[in-house]
Amino acid sequence: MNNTLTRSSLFGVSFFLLVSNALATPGFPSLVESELSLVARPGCELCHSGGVTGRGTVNTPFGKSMRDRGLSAGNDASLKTALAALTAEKTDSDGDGKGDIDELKADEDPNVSAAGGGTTPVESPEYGCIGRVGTASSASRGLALLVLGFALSLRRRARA
Amino acid sequence: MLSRALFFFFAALFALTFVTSEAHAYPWMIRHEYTSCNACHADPSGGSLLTEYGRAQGVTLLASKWSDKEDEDPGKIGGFLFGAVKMPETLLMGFDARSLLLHARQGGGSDTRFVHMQADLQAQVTIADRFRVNASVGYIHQGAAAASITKNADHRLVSRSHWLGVDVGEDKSWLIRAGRMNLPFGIRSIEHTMWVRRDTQTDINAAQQHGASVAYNSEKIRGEFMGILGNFQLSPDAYRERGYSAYLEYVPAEKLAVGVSSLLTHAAQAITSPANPVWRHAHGIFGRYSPTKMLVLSAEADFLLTSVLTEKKRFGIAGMLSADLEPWQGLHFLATIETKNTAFGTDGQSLGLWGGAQWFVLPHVDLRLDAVYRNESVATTRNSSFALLTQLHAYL
Repeated sequence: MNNTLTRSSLFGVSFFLLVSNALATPGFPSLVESELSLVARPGCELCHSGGVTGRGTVNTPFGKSMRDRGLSAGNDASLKTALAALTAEKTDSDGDGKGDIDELKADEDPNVSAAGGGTTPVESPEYGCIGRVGTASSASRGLALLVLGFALSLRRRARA
Repeated sequence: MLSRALFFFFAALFALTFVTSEAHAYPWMIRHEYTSCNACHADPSGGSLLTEYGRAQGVTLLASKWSDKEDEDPGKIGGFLFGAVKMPETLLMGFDARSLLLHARQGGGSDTRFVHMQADLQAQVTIADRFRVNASVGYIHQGAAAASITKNADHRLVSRSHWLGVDVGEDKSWLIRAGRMNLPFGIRSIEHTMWVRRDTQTDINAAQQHGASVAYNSEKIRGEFMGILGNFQLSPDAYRERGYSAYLEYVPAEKLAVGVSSLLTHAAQAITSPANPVWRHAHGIFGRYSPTKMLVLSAEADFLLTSVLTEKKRFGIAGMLSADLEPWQGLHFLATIETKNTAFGTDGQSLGLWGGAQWFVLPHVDLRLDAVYRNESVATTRNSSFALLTQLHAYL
């Protein structure tokens, strides 16, 4: 039974290491680009505060407007519906007098309202204290292997 | 033989959960007459790093029993690294890892993903019996942006809490702290997406703020008041909220606790409307009751007010009623009904239903399965969603 448990545990580790990055975030930026025929693909910061992705980060004015019109993660149809609603309603999320869709098509930022006659845009929020670190996509696997190796060394020490 | 298997089993669990939200915060401990949290947790209002006593209770009260021994010594396996390393009395350490397999359906689409919710290392050093230095650092794949240390778009280092504190009073019933801390408000629990936590922005995932707090714990009364100076892991300064958050809880009977919470903050720029300042209120009541050892009822209701210059004021409410049934030690069945309306006159009433089970299968390990249905009204839209969540949580 203990050998079975050991083998099952190691299999479980391997399985999760393999699948951990297999379930990716949908390509919303490219879909926005194609739906609106933009000259350039928008970045994640269009909807995600500070460009930080993940649940709970769609808090830019434009992102909030999209959420208010039914945008949901992983649902391409909801993105198209929300864009259509913003177009029809001529929504102006940053209140600068120019609609969000018009600003996107003009390669402008619908989250930034120029103040004082258009000379001083509002700075977007940014999370974090220090610069970007590492490539990270393999960090989780590396750390997992480190933990496993540490556990194995503890086991050897316990047997000695 | 069993210890060897346990080493491999836990190593695998830690590895897979590291490939990756929230530590321990269990308001249903009131069933064991634990109305306050400071006996088991370094944080006086609960959650996260465990004390040695808390680790022992994790073995004797939380985990499923696999033997008939009544006098089994919990100390060794409940300790840090399963007792493999003897820690000095002045040092607390912990490592929490949580991962989630999520399947969600909304509208015509579905989303299945593996989420690394938490991989946090926590430690506390006590100096001269009174002074504490407490900090956590962790890794997160996505989410928890407000707790970020690094500025990566994803795969970030996070520090959810870090503070200095001093125990005051003959029986150390007062704790004064300064640093980044969980906001003292309402019922502290691990369900950070529940509306009472999300819409008051008082969850223990990433809603911590920097500031100073005073906490008091006694048999009948506990409370904490925190002056909020802002989240210094968010820039520029104009987005940082300043204000206060506080709660006060009273225990009128052995397994009954009732309390009030209050929060008020101001920021020069609202994240959702950067050109405008914002005031945010949340004030509410909460309670926990265990009529029998098997059952714990928890409830919270909060009044919400968000006032952004140039926008209409948003008055609203968020509430929940939750039941935890533990028919056998370690196995919990959970049911929650929640509701919210964050903008009377604009939004409709939203309804959420949670059902699930949590199994503390072994010391240091628990599995959780939740099914969540939500019918949520936001402005002119109403969305129904269903989510199935499978979580694995383990700690060293």
